[in-house]
Amino acid sequence: MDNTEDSDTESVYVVRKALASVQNGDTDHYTQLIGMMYPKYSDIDAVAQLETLLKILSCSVAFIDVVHHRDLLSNIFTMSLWNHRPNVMDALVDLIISLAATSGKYLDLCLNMLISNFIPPPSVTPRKNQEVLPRVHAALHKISYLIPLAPSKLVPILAQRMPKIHIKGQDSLIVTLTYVDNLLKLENSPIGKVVGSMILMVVMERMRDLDLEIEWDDILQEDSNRGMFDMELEDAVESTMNEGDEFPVGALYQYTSDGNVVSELLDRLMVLSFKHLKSCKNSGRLDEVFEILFESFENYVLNTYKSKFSQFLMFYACSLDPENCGVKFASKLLEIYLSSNKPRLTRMSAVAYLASYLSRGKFLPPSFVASMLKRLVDECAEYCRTCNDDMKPKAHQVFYSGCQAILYVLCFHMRSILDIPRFQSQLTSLESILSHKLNPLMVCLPSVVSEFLKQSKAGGLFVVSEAFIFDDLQESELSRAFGGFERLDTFFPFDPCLLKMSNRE
Amino acid sequence: NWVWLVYWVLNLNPLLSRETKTLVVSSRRRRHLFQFIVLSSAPAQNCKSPVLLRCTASSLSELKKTKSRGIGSSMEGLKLSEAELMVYIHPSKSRNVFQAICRELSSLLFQYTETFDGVLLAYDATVKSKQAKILSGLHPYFGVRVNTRLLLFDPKPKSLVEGEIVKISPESIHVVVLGFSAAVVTDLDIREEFKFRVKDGEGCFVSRSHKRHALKLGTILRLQVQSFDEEVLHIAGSLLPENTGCVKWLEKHSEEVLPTDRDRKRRKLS
Repeated sequence: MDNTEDSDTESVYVVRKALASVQNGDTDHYTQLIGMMYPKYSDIDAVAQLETLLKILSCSVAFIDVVHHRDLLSNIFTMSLWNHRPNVMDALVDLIISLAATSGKYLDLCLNMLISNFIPPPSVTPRKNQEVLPRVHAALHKISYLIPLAPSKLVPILAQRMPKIHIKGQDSLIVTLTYVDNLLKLENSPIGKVVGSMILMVVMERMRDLDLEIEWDDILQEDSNRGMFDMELEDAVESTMNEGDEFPVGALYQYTSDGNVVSELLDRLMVLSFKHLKSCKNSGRLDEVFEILFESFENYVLNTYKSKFSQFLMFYACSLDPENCGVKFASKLLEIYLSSNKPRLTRMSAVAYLASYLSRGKFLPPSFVASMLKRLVDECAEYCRTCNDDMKPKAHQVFYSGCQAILYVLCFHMRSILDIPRFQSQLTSLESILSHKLNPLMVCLPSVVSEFLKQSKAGGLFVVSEAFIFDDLQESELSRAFGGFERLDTFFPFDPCLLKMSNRE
Repeated sequence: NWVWLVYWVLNLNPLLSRETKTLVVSSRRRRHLFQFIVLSSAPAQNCKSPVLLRCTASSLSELKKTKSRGIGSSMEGLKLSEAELMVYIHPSKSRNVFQAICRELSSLLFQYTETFDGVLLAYDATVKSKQAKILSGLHPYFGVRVNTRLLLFDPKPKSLVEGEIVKISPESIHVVVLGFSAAVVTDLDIREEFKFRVKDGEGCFVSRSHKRHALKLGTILRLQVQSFDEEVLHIAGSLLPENTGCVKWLEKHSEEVLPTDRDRKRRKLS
């Protein structure tokens, strides 16, 4: 027992002497030390030596000088946990924690080194994953415990280290997925109090960027009148004219050369995020997460031209907690639409999201949908009362988008609204809107209008003149005019999700 | 003693961040000038514009050492400042000016500011006049005069600070001061009196001359500041001076010493 203690203290002495001698110009022993840092994985002795060296260095942090021992430090900070055995990993992690805790100048470098281990090298076994990643998380928590301000230093590092979006091939899939998985784990941890909001923003931004890589035009060409009012891809809905038409799902994966990878990555990212939201719900955190989620949605997705899939993250969050989050989402969207401070495009986009959400969100109580509808109707009616203009699509875009929203929601919920007489009375102002000089029925998307009229005729809501039959037109000059350059007239964001795995959730 | 309250609040949450909710701590003691301290921390995320601050410190008042036995009695690094600031605000925030001011001041929390000469821990702002000067230029910022009272942390070398021990090893003691500042005492700066021992599987430093004077995990430690890294708010500390060590023990010990001092003085006079 004594012997090992003595040899330990001797080794410590040797190392410290080697470090100190550099300042006198004697670098032989120091160079030897550096040479010990690259053992072969299979050479057990050399690995054990490295482990001992790292342990000694953890105890001798005070003897390390940032200028004279630059080489040693740069070696330490470029070591990757993935390349070493578990015992060396432990020693290395301890050294990093000591360095971070002892002097402020190493803190950023240490955090950088730890975060770089969130990115796995190619072809990694699940076992290695289990060895490395928990150690990184434990180290981050230990550092945060010793240095309370460390998490705020972590924020810019996490954002910068996000893998670039244009890495080619299958590697990008695993790399991005592992990184985002670890980010979400951090969000769920105590450190998440500081870094959580940034993480959710970064994830939402990445999903939107991937979304934008996927082209929309190829899909629209296949689209004719079918599927617009279908509730699910495979099922037919109650009273639409087109039933049972299969949507060409296969076409989605073939339009760009590596479109396959991009959509698969987005799909998997969404599934990962769904799992994370589920765990937030289970631990009771969904409310606070939802606030940040909505903020990132508003910043990144709301104004994005024809976002295809990233909005489903919000949809899923709302479905997990309809009474709270579901209601909040719709109310916030409505608030954006009603606020005259917001830019025109944002308001039109918000109401398009609202309409699609109210229509597709089966988890929402009908009474809530009706109350939202009533507020929309009231707003449009008020607009009609104060407006004395003729039909001018470009001048009243916000109004027309509001009307289209009302018509769209009614296409889906006509029956439930009509079933309850109390709701029917709330919609009396609707007639005044539709018969106003502004003539929304002519301007709104013809397919929506004809569907609405068919349903209202069937339901006995009102009877309208023959002038409004459109012969299966997808769109008209007028609807294009109000939709504007962004074609918000044909934007129905919550139509069934075309990504395989996410759709299943 | 509201300083103690602030200290206590900060120490409750070791992972203190700028994301904590707004807390209002009030002191009812008449001795103290201030009635409210707002510990607010909404970072200025939405305020994308840089806001300039010009500080004309009109008076500085140092905290007097209180005789209370509570924590914070020898926290020398804290000081109270009264400052007249000019806060420039972007026109988009003109609807709720006070909130914008708080946001800007909050963005400085837990950061070392040269103008204040210290780390801002808490502030209390009052807008004296509703008149504000509009700057000419591309963006018409308007400058609002704000009177503030600032609680600043500025540990000068050789001053004493206190904190809880979070990690002990033979080579170093790691302490967290005021819940946010990490302090380290390396073995070179621990006086010979203390010897490292392993008790019940945990490391601790025990004094050779007074067996009851032990430094272990969770002890509140008083240490002398050697240097203060303003960027990361890191303190390099020392346990060399005799009046450093475990606070509980030191205060108990000093009480025992006091009566004998008085006796000595009485003998001298007579």
